[in-house]
Amino acid sequence: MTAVIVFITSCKKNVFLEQPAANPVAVFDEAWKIMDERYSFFVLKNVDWKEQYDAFRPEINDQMTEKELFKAISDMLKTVHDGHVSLISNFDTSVYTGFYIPYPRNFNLINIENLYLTDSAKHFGPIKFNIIDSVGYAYYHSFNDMISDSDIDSLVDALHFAKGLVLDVRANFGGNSNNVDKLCRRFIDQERIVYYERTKTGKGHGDFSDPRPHSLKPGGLPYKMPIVLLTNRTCYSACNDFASFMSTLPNVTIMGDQTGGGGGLPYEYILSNGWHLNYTGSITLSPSLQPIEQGVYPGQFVFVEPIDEIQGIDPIVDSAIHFLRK
Amino acid sequence: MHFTHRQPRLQLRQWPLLPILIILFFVNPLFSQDSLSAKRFYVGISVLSGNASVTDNYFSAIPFTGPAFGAAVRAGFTQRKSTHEISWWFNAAHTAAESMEGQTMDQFFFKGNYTYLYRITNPKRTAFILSAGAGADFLEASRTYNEFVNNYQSYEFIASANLVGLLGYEIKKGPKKLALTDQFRLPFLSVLKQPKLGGTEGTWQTGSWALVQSISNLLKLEKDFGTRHQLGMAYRLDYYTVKTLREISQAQHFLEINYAYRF
Repeated sequence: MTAVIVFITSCKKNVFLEQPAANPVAVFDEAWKIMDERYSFFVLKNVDWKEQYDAFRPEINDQMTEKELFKAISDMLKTVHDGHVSLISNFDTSVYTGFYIPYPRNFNLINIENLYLTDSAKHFGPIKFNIIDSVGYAYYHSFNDMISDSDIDSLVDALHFAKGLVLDVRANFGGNSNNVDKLCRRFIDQERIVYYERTKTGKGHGDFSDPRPHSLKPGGLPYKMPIVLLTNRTCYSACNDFASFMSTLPNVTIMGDQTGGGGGLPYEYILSNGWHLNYTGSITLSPSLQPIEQGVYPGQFVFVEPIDEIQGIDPIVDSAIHFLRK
Repeated sequence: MHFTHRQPRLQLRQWPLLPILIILFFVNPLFSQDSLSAKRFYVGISVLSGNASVTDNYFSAIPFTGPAFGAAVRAGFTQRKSTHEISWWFNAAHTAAESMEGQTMDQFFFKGNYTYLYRITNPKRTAFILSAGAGADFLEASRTYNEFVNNYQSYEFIASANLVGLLGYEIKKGPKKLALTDQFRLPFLSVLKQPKLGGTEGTWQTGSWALVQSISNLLKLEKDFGTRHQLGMAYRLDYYTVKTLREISQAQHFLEINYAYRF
């Protein structure tokens, strides 16, 4: 009997559930269908998804190579213009980059480090900080980098004699929303709604739940001095959520370029051939119930021209410091 | 989500295991004595070892499969023609997506049953056992996937009312007896709770055959030792599929070693 038990438990293959078909036609249809039933921005972006199927499906046949199939599905996915929609295989990754590639970068990290984050800069966890002309400058590169309460305490302590804070989240492609919450908590003095979320409730392109609020309570002594938040097109996803919320605070001004968007939660699905399909499965709304998928606009547009980069200056930071010193 | 073109089907490729089980049991020279009395309480315990396979279409149409281990306890009351039994069984499984390295899922599964069976055939006239009755099931399966973004947990609670049947055959050799029985359960009314899309908040649904389709079988060989002790082994097969937006199919099969004590 022991032998039988060992035999049963050593079975790696399942004996009841069938493996799905993984030929090119089946995989293409599966990718299209998952998007059709779960993707959240067809209506907002006015995308006719059936039209995309009709356009790309004739290219698909079971004789095509996996690289040809990958390109066909990737091209189809890019028609939704969404940086959260991607296709990942063991030989390539396809991500939509149209939300920032065609636009001026408005950010040069080398210039920032040469001008503002010099040797006197401090590091509060992932936040780099310096005092410039009695104004605090803080750069947070990625919401994937975990930030602790003590990091924020140190930041607020360092701002004790400063006239305000320039918080730079340019080139921040988002990450963990817990970091958004931690930062936001230090800028509020009462419970506030940070964003609303609508999730899919059915297969239809318009099947969504009612908006569900995500609110936060203050965490620690709030920082209430003026803040200038610097954004550009590469402020995406969680960074976009952060900018959306910060724009509602009375002591916050946003400068730079608009954010890249990414106003929805990305989810993941494994296609039958093992490729990973990432898709946006919800709609994030601002505290005023507006979709933020198309980005958050700054209160003051300021740009870094190519000549500025060559000269090693950053007019966006300079404008923010000037604004706070006034 | 519905993927009807890719609906998993039962494929019992390992039925040859069953004769092996039976042979292993028969080569044991011990045959128990016929000691069943008309009215008795009993309690029992089992250890389970087997496999779990899950296709959770919210994550992938690819089945996740792996070894599972668990235990079961039961308590019952028998009369000459009827049986009431309550049982609980649970297992933990560590599974992986087939043909994909590193894509794993851990599952905890619990199921509780109540069963009432009435024996239709007369034990004094025939060795065949045919019983019918009804039962209620409650199950919970909770899963944690690795390497998924935002959606990495799922679960379902299912409570069902079942039709229950039992087929069997008793082999008697003088005062000694060996019983081979197969109990199967078919739910006809179910209440289901599983998370909404894009979250872990649960939502309730109620339905009949169309909502939850399930087959649950327990094939047992049992022998009495003395008047109070009973040893047995069993093959348990539990399969269900949930036809919702988050369509799930799950199949588990186990070998069990059972012990029961009669009061």
